[in-house]
Amino acid sequence: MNLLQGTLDLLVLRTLQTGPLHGWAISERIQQISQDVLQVNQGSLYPALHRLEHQGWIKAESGISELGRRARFYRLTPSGRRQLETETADWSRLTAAIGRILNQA
Amino acid sequence: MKRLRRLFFRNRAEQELDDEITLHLEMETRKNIAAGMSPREAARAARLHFGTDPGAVKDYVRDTRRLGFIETLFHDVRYALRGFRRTPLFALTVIGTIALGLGWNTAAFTIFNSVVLRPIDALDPHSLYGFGWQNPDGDSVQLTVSQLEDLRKAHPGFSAITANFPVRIRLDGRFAACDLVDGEFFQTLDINAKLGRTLLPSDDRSPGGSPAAVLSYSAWQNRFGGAADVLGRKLPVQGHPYEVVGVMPEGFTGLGHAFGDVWVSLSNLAQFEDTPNPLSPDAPAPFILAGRLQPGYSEQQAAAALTAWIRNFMPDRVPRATLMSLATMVPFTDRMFAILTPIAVVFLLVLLSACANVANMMLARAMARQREIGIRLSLGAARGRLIRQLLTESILLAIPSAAVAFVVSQAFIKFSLWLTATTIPAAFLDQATIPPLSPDIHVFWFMSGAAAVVAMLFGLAPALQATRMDVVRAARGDFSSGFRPSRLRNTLVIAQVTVCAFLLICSAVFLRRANRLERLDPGMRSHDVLELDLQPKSRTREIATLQMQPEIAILASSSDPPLDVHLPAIAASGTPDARFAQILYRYASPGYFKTLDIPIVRGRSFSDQEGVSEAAVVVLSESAARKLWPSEDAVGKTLTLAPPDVPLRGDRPPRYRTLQVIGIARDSAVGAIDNPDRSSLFFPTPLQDPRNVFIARVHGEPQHAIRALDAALEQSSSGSVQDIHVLKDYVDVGIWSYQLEFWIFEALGGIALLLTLSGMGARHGSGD
Repeated sequence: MNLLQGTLDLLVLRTLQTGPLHGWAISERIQQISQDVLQVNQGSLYPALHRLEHQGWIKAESGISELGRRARFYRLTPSGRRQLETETADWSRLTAAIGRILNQA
Repeated sequence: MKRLRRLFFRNRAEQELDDEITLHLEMETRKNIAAGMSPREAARAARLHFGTDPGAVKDYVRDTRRLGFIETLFHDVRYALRGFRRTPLFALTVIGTIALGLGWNTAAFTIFNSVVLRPIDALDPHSLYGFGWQNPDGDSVQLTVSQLEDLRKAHPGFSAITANFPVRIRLDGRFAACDLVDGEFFQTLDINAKLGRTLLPSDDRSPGGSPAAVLSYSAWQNRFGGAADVLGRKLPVQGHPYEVVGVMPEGFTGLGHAFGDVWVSLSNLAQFEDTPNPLSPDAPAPFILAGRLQPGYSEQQAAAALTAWIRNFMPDRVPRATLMSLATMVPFTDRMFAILTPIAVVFLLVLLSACANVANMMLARAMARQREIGIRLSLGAARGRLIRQLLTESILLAIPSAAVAFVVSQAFIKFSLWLTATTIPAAFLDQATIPPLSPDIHVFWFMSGAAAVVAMLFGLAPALQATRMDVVRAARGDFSSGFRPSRLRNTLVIAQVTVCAFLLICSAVFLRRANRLERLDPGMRSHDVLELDLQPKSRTREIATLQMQPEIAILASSSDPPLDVHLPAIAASGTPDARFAQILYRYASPGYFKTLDIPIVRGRSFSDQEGVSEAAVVVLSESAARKLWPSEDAVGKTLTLAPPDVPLRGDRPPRYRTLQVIGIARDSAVGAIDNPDRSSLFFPTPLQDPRNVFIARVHGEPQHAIRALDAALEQSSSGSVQDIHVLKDYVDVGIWSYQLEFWIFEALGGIALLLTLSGMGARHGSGD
């Protein structure tokens, strides 16, 4: 199942809530938690990461990967945390609204 | 700062991104191997899972990072320059084409700028205004000298008011523009002399005139060779000795569009006017009035103040004051706008034609580059990114184009000045005054703006077209079928052909007019007839001098020059109760018809007696006779002028309301050679009437006669000659103006044709 447009940012932010991760780990985590329902288009992951970094919601810092090499780990910034809260709230409102419509119809 | 660091450490950022993606692919591969794939299969699956091509991702990330702008610019510029190096001929053709189109426009704009936009040399020129009053019936009001004095003292709405009176004088036998100015003139303009001093209020107050003269920079250069010791030198003006007291800075041409070569004090007016005491309090003051607006006053407020002031003198019919800005040589009025718009459109059409041409070439090039663009599009390059790149290319082409266009415009201006100087009828060369045509900041902005717009025009359409490609097809290796720019290109070529045809038709119209004028028979002799405009200092002495000269065959005079003049009109009728027709009229001395070789076909011309007494007789042209008495012989009939209740108006209204027709003259040009209506009335006037211009048929070579008459008149009544011309010169200068327009349009049309042909060539050559 492909990701809904615009939801990738939200998922990335949510994934990073538990701690810094590098790019591949982010896509893996999304896949795992969604029990392989959601496939992250990895080609759009990196642009998204850089976009979020540019907006100041996440911050890249270097760390050591599982392969023992230097890698970029992304960490949620305080403003990213706030962004996550708003987006989560928006998302819940949206899904609730859609759910109500679907249930009624 | 961060962006800047990224820009300079671009390679590091790039490296990081590379590492990141490599790590990603590696991790994915390991995962796949762990799931039981062979290493090779695992790597392939990882790459497949990654989705888009990693290179495109990098491209995209670079854009999202948005350090973007400057870096992308560098990148695009480098890319474009590399492209130009690969196809230098293309780049040169584009630059040449745009430079040609833009060069013309810049040349035209430079001239427009110098005349209409550039402020005159004066302090705060935008607060300088010329003004006057109009009666309720539209006539302009003339003040008396004492009223002018009062006005200057009161200066309503203005902080200073000055009067000047331009006259034409002769310096060493050549015509020059002289401005008689009052003492406040240079102070109002607030401008200082380059050498010596300007004219001061004290010059104006010396009774009987002041001998101080101020020269323009060009008069100093041309007539005194720029001599450093010019101050104190003698300058004979109208036979009176003046002394040079100052030289104005370069570029100062005076106030309004009257160019000044020499400025002298208005107190010398008696030397230039024939009336005995032109500055007595009751004398008319036919001067040009100007002033500097009172600080904080608007144009309307100043006009109201002027109207209020004149109410004191004319309380029953209060004239309305009108103001006109003197900030530039020619004010930019609605009328000016109406005249200039079509000219501007024509010039812009040529520029657009050049744009179309280049757009066409860009399209052809874009087609040739379809493969490249197609590959980049299918590799995921963003369309916006490609468009930006193509636009960068256009701008890079526009910048050198603008530079070359500037050189071209200077060459055009030089060439047109040369063309003007070599083709203008020689007699008018002295009078052709050319404003300084140096480019300034306005010209620079115009060029930059035009170049930018041009770049957008020729760059945008091809960029949009070329990138509108079917990615799926392109990915299959089919790079051509998705891209059909031919409709746009056809439209461009059709537009070009239209513009070109339009310009050539215009030029043909002007050529036809010039040719028609040349062939038109003015109905009067012109090659050996001189027109002499003399100061009416002493008509009897002037006539005596002229009649003594062996060159003069016949001498006559008329209220208006025979050609190139606006004649007054009057309502005339053959029978008192019939309808009136507006017919142009002039006063002619008894020798008029003979001098100009206009035969009297019936009846007779004026007798000397009728001339002197300005008798109630009239001579009609054949057309006028036919108009007034369609079926009868007009000779002997009575002509009625204007219905009884209509007053006879004008500068020189006829003295009678009914006149006897004594003769019919063959039709000749009335006022203008191309005026199709040749009906006119001739009223008698004495040869010596001081308001008349002289018309003389001469023996021998006319130019020789001009010199001889000039010398003789200078001796007997110095400074009286205002103007001497061969009548034919007026015909020639009329034809010349059409020829000039023909050349301009021909050149524009030629350029457009060249562009169209090369555009079609490029289209053909591209194998479309």
